[in-house]
Amino acid sequence: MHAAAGTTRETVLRAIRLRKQFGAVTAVNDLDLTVQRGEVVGLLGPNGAGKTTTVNLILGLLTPTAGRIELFGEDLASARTRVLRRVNFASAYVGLPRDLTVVENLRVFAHLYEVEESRRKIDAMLDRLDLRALASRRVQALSAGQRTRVVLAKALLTDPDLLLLDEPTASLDPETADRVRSDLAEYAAGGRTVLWTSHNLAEVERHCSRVVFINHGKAVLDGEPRELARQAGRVLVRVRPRAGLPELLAARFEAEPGDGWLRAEAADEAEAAELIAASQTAAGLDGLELRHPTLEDLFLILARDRWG
Amino acid sequence: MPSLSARRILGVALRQWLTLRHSIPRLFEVFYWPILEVVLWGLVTQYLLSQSGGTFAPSLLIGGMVLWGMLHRAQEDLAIAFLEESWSQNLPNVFSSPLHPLEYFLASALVGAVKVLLAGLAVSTLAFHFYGFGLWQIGPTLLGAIPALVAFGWAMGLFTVGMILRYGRQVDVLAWSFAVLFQPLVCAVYPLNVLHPALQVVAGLLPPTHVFEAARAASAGAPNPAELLIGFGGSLVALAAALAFYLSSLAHAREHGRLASAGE
Repeated sequence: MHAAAGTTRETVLRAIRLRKQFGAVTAVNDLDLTVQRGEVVGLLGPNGAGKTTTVNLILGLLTPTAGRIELFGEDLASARTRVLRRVNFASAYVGLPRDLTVVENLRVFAHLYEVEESRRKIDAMLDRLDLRALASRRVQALSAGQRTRVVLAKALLTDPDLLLLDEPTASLDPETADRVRSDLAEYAAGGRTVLWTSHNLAEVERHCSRVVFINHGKAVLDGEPRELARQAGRVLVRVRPRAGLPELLAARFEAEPGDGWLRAEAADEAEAAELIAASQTAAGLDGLELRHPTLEDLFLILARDRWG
Repeated sequence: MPSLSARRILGVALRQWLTLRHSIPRLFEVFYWPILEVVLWGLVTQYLLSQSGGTFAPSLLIGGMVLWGMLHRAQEDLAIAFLEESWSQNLPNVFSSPLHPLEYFLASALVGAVKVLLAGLAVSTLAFHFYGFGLWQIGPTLLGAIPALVAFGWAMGLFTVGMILRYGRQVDVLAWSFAVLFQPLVCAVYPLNVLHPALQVVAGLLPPTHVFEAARAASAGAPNPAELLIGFGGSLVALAAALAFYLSSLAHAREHGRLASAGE
């Protein structure tokens, strides 16, 4: 598992051999996960990997079948009210009272979390998330993107010490998603602790200081995004030969659909250089690209090699 | 005993109050059914009075229906307030907040009590104005009868919420129908001895039966505090049992993922 970046930092979240079973299905399987204050952790994995279940366990919406969760050093099960005051979340899959206006919703949640100076903070949140013009509109009259920003306002209003994001930009158009990402990035940049699940790997790569891949409810990879990509031990090579490559060399590449590009994974940069040189000698090259895998590449490699 | 927060209770109450304030149909509903019932049973009472030569006591029907309405509303309000959270996919927000389940109940009960009192005031005024029947004619027994019936209504409401937490939306219909299941047995508008002897035994196990018997006795000028006490105590026992069921159902819901958001 990933070592804590700084041992003196507060441990915000500890999931200890966390397990959740629904009948015969094991959604989370002895998961160990530690998040330190100030980390922005991306929780990634294929559909059904157990990401949302993990988030629900941390929020106390599910009780674990085995194992336990500590938040800020206290057991969630026994200090529920105290620790949940310091946690909040935004999810694409959760709504808000639709018949209440934006500002009324925020007032209700300010009461539930006993937010001090709530009027001033609600006011500031309306400005921060550009919701001022929508303040008196009922949630049911808002677009999906506007609703997502209200959900985010509800989560940020309490200034949580741990913010959980469950695919916050799912089903948003690119422009709105980008705006929500900017809001979140601004929040995370202030040294906040965030656990962020998403299918959008570029968004996670851009905003998270650490990513944890989970599959079948277990953490299979944990580290900084670039470090993980490096650990994957691959270099991606793309070449566009002028003519056909000799059979043995061609077998090393996969053809990309379309305009003659070939793609290969090399174990390291030296092997990548060899591949390029051999291709150049054999057929000449119109184009080439050499890069380390992105999180998305890594995800695809893991999906192919480890997850089947 | 958990430490309860007045502010969190106020938060849930505010949410329910705002929902009511924004919805004309819901605001209308607070008064609609109670008024409809008192009008209907008032007319039946007038007819029976004319047929019985004035020997029929108006409190038997109108009084019984006004009091029954309070029990029914208390149950329905509590259950529907919970359903509102479910319909708006707000359960994960509510139950991942620091809110204690007892705070949720207290807030719902607070709002429910205000609605019951408003509706009770409206129908009492109506019954007095049109039929000459004042609920206060029941006398001091009323001061015990109303809290006892409302407490039993809350118990039924909590039981309904518990069932929804355990079995999901497929049992939503209980929110509107559960209290009605008891209506024939609790003898709101007729004396206990009207029932078949076997049913009298079952009815005797239901606290509201004793409350209605006590109210009838008081209306007839022969107050029966012992009967009222049985009804009151029984309602409190039912409320405590329903609270335990609600809390265990919440734990069951957390175990089976009924509160959680469904991602992916």
